[in-house]
Amino acid sequence: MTPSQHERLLAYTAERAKARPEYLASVLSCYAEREKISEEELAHRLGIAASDLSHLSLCLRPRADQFIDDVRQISTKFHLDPTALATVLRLVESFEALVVKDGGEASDDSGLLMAARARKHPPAHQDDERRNHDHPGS
Amino acid sequence: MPPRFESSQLLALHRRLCDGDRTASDELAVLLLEPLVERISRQFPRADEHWHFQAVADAFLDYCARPQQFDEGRGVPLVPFLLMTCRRNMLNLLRGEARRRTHEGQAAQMSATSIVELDPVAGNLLQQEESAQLHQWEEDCMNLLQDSQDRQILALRLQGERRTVAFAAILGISHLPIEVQRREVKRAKDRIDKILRRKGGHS
Repeated sequence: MTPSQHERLLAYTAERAKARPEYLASVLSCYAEREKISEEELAHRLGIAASDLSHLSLCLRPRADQFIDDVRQISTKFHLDPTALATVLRLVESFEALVVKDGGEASDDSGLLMAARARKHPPAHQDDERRNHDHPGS
Repeated sequence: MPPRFESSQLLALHRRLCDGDRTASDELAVLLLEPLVERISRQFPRADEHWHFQAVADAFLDYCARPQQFDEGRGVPLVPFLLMTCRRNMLNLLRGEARRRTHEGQAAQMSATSIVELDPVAGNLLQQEESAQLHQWEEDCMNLLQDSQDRQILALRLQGERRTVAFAAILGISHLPIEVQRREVKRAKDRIDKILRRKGGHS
């Protein structure tokens, strides 16, 4: 098997992992979908090479009771900013919590994710967020 | 399979997984996915590569999400343990495909008859009924077999597989001379036929 096939196999498995909530793949996929960004952009936001995204996706999702330690372990291995990873994880968790609370009605409402992000974490794009906050009634 | 890793290395990663290590799954993927696909490809050489990938990926992801399902105390190494799951996944995929083809074949046959041409609604009903009957018959046969190995062999037969090597792989006797394989495979098939005749009146 050539290296390219090896990478193909890793990418395929990472793709399958998107449907499994135990894996980071599901979190990253949810985040990218909600933010409407490509995998390249996702890798850029996390500060890793796009080729490392499959590897990162195959890691297990941090446990709630050991969140900081788990995030730190993953970040150390992939040399990424733990804050960036934690932000992504918390955003997706917020969205998931909202979906559960609303009985799934929020699945198509990207505004809920934006609201969750604005409340809990500093936004990645300050200008965009400030515009949202400055908007009357927001 | 060429030894690309030490058993102790896999065991160490397994223990890390059990201890809650979040990145051990990626390291295991790098070590295991390729060799598992190679093995499954050899066992199911006629199947599509995509199915090899799917069977292996699902087995691997299942295991990493619940590593406790592998009990190192049982004496079965991790790779054979995973291969068993891969093979089961593969057989499920093949069984599903066989059913799909059977149903398609029946549908084609039904559509070729005049009654279907004259009355599509009646044709659809007949197709559905025959498909359901075939499906039920296969399920009945499977349920009559207690042994998982017997079920795997029957599934292969239902798919139309005739090669001794395919059945020998299920029986775990691929390493034996071909004559011995033939004898053992025939014995297994005869035993299954006997069970089906005795319990269900099928042949």
